[in-house]
Amino acid sequence: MSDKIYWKGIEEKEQLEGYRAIAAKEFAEELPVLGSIAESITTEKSSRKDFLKMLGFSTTAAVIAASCEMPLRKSIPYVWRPEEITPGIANYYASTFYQGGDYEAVLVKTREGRPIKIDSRDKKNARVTKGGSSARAQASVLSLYDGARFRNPKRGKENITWESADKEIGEKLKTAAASGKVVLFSSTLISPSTKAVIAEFANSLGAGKFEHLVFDGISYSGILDANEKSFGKRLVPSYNFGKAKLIVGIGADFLGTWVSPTEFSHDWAENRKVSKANAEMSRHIQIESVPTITGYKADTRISVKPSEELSSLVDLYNIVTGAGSSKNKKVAEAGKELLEAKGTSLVVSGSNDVNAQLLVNAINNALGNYGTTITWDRPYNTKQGSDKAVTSLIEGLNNGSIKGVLFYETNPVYNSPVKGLAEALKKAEVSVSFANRVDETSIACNYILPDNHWLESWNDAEPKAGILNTTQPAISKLFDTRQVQETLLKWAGKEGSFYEYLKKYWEGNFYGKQSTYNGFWSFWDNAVADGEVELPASAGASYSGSDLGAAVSAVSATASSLGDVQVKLYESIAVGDGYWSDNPYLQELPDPVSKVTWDNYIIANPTWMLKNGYVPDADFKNKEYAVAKLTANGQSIELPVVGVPGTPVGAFGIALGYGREAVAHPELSVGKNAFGLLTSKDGNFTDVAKATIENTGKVAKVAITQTHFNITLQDLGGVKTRKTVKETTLNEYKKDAYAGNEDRHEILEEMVTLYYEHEYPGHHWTMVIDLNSCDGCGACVVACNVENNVPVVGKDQVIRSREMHWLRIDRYYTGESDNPDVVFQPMLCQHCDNAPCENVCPVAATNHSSEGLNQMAYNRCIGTRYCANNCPYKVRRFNWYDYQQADAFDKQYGTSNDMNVASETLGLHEPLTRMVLNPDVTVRSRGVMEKCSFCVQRLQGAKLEAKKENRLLKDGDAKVACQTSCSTGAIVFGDRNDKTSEVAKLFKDERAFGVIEEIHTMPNVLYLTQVRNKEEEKKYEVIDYYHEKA
Amino acid sequence: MTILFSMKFQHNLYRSKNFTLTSLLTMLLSMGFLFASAEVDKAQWADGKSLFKSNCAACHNPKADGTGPALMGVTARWEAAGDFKGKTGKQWLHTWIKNYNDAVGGGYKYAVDMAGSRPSAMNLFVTLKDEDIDKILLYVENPDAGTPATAQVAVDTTAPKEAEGPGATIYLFVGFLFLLVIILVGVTNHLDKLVAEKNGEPAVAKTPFYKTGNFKVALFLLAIVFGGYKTVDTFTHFGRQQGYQPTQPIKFSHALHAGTHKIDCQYCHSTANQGKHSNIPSLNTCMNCHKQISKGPKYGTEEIAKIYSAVGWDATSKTYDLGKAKPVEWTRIHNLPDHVYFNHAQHVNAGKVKCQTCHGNIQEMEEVYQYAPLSMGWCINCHRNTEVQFSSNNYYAAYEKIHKDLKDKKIDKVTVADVGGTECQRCHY
Repeated sequence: MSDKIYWKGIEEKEQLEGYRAIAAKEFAEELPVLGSIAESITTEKSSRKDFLKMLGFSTTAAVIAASCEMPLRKSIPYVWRPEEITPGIANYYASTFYQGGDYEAVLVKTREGRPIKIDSRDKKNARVTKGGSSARAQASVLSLYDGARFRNPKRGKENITWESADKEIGEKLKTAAASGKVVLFSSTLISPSTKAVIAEFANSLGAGKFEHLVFDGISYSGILDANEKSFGKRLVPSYNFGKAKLIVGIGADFLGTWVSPTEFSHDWAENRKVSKANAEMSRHIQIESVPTITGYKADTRISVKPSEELSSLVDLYNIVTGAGSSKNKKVAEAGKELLEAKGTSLVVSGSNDVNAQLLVNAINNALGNYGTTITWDRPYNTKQGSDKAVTSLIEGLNNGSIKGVLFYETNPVYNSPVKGLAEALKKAEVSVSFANRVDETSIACNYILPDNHWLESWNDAEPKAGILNTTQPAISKLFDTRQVQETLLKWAGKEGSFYEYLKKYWEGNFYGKQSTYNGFWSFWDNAVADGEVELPASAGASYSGSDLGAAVSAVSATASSLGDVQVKLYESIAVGDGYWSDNPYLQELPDPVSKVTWDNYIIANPTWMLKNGYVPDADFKNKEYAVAKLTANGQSIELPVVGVPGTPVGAFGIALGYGREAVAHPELSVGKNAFGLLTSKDGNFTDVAKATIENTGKVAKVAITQTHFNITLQDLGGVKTRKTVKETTLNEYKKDAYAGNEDRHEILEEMVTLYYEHEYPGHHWTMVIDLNSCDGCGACVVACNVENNVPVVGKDQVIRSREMHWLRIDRYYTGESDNPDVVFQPMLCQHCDNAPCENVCPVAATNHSSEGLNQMAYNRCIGTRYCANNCPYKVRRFNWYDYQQADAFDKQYGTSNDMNVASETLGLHEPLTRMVLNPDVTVRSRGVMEKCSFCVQRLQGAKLEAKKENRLLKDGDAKVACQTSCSTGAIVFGDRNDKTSEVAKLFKDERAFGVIEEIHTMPNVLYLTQVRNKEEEKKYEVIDYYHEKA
Repeated sequence: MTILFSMKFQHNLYRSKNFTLTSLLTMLLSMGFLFASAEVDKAQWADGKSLFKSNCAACHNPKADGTGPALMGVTARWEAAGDFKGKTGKQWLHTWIKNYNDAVGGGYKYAVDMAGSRPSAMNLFVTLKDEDIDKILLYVENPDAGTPATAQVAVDTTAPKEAEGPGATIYLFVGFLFLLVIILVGVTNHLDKLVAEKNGEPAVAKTPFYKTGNFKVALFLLAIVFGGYKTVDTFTHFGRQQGYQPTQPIKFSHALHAGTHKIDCQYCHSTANQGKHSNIPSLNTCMNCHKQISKGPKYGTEEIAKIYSAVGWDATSKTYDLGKAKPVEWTRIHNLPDHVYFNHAQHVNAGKVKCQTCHGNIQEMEEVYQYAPLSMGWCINCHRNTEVQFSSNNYYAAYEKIHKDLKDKKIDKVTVADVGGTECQRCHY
């Protein structure tokens, strides 16, 4: 609404001096000049002679470099070209991504035999994830080409052969089994055939000589144990967020990280897409302490302390069972709404406290949600770990009952709060890690037998009961690694490959259960080609509630024991349990909530920070943050404090998964390890703890992108008047579909232009983004990076506002500082029909195409950066350095000056890592501007396919990378000239508006108004900052 | 010759004595055909030739064994094999050509023997009409009948001429004008002098023109203009390699393959029609023919032996040893800068551009060289002048306005540039 004020951070809201300095300038800091040369220029007196010398040198160098003949290039064809490979045409293979509880149904794009991009499978073959994919799955392709992967088996630090490894370990396993047990310690495994292989291995050791312990770094023990008590099944049931009319989330970040976020965000958004024809949407209430994207997207966010997350559960339980009410009025209101939505509501909690989860089960049962919004026909297999596993392993090793340990896809030395595992491992007869890159656990083991990367492996997966997936290799293995399953089969004395075993297993166990295919080969071929097969659902489970009095009092006791200052440890969207902490794509992805890259930090209430002296840089001039020491459970951690609106006073949040010590790329390891702060309670690790905090007086720099590329510059019309985001409430929308967007008529009517208008004879590419669906998760950002060879620049460069992301997600706050409403807005090149950047380019390197694209010709750009300065959306990025080794000059002539430092540390200069680059997209060199191209390579590809097939281009033929990764379907792309296309229809939607279109840029990206399903729009005081300060 | 070939072929194929009679008959008949070749219908023969080239030539040669047997005399051979199930030998041959399985399945003995005699199966040509097959057979039996009278060639030899730059004539002309100016200046000076003499004026020592300030300035400016032009011109030509003709590891002759033997370009460069790259054929493509042909007309066995060694083929035992295979490292001739996206399928398939348009008369090149400058100006010029398949490709139906303009005769053709083909992001992204 026009009287609302939006801001991106406190520094903007308060218009701090430092912020204003950054925002008013084109670039965040003074222009840097060439490193060492610059030094001599600035420190010593440079003369005209120096200038001439430099000029002479650079001209000569350029002439020498340029006048050399073109390098001799070889063209080496296949000896026997595989039938399916046509050079220049991508092949797609259905596969399955699974890592430590994250499951995604994926399609691997390969070019000339190398995987370069992970897309989602078609919706019909992605029954669980439903056509989206997470940032982690997108980024995992980079880990395939990680030069730091183990290249061969190792004994300690020494390289050995597989033969000697098999021989030595085989003998040691025998000795170990003679005097004790052998344990396979893993994260949750969802591959049925792998489990069968493990059983074969167990059999070969003899009865009672083997145990499989399952442990997940991000623990779901609480909910699993509670479900075991309530339903007799230690699993997580299916949640149908799409069917629920009222969703109450209590500290569960189900859109970002909880259980199956890709699926949940799809379902959640499905039920929140409003149109004139269907003006109904679900209502979402989130009760949470540390802000998450789920809370930020909720219609009503109730900001409470971590302890109150627990006590509000008790309150809700009392309300729905009619036993009481809540002191917190908002919680009481939520309870009332729940009672009104019996059978169509859904309550989820992210707590890892068994008793709390028992209450959640009881609440859902009392509301009649089982069988409607929660079903047991297809429970999740992705979370099965037990926190007790680590303790029992250490105990077993110490008392000698466990003699051999095999670690598979797990890193308990790092990601469990229990100490002493590394020490205890020394007592084992044999300890083996199957990690394919170095981690804390592998360095504590005698042997490292590197597993294949998942893109090099055969496998299967059953993420939900009866939904069977296949993983197929998309590339031959790069190094001398061996799949774990092969290794175990070999040790079990089984002949044949794992692939044969897998097929036989499917033939024996799954083929008979389906009736679609006749003949195993047709079943198997189709399963591998589609990536997924659906088998009949399993029987449900019924709730058997025991007396919950004990649970109520236990939860209440826990809540009151937490005191005034509490810490909540959460999983970050990017790095998960730490596995991804050296993936540059994920580290540079700004956290959707805090917009911080390359770090973890203490999340705190901004007002509290100001009052208590945690803002050393009050004017935000140096972008410095106070470092605080937070102590919980006797463990201390020192981290910078970052204010995040919506955090209650007295609550602090710290992301897990940072501060890896033994890691493949130590230079990329940032932050501190917070796993030690987890509370061990009844054998489970809970993520909330009583804490104390003190200011250390130190300061640190944090790479926060929240005020970078700000488009709501006060000096350009002010935060108030610029129309960047629009929102309304459902009631208003029902009355008038133009609600919140009333001024659009006026804006469009007032548009007068002096320029001629472009003609679009063929296509007119257009995008519409639904602000109501977008949950800001960031998968699109990583998808864009991978598709378009967008460089990673590193922490130092991000601090200087030089991140290269073509697509960023702006996050706007509005309303109360302590619990604001939030709007996420993906911001990319708007491909304006009347583009301000085009007019100012002195060399016409950026201009307009007849298909509505604002084109950027890198080879024509001379780097004046006028366009970036003139872009009102601030979506143009300048290559300050040669981030991806585009120029042969540096490499050829060995000038390793500081120009390359940033990128060399990120490993993007390694020939192996560069294999991930998309061959259809130019790798930009230093000194040129770049920006979103609407994935023009995909558009051209789709057009060519249509021409080859002698047909019209259909809606949906051309899809952009961000769109394909979006699980909520917020991004719609297509040809506006095709009147039947979805995008053409949405372009005329009542909710559609262009960002700051009042300046007549005529953007080709429109946004749909955010609609909140809450009673009434709060009225805010209108403050005109601009005039006040002036 | 025909007889010799057919004898050799039949010797290979039929060692059985049962076929002696057949062989004799065939010989006679093929001789008859040879004599009859003068009376061949030219039009039918030409059709047959082009059908043969497009369908059969990959494996068959009328006069020599290739992947398939030499075909001259094939009609007679089949007819000699006799009638069966109410069909003549020639009808059975038609059946075989369309789908050899039908002939074998039909139980025709000659077909059954034939199928057993060769390891690789023949392709199916079910779409060929009977009259087409007759035409093909007409050509096969009289491969030389059309030459030299019908010398038309499947390949289009009309490669576009590059717009010529300022040639020698221009320079000559400019030189001539310059000379004229000097002479005329001399003449006027002389006349001035004569006039002065006549009038009795004292002869003034005139400053020669090359010592005047104006001349010096003009010379200086000329030097700057010319020098500047030369500098810019030289710099813009950096990295261009028109005429580049590196030595290749195997002396492969396009003139022989595409010229003499008229093998379709896309038989080897098969992906030009489908994808971004026009592939250099993998060695298994070479071996389709070179399993049989181990000797070339120019270099004998030497160059073909290089293929054999690269693909791991043992010519004596006729077996592959893939362990010995190693790819051939050709030197790439056509190099585009990294920031240029070029797609063969776009041009060959969608645009129906002939290979020769950009690669020159490759069928005449013994060794390939870079024919076109591959400069941006060259690309753009072609995009400005070349028409797109606007009416024949349904994709362009989306361009409604242009279709209307065409209908209303506002425009008479649609070039690549008209549909945005000169925009930056068609080639640079």
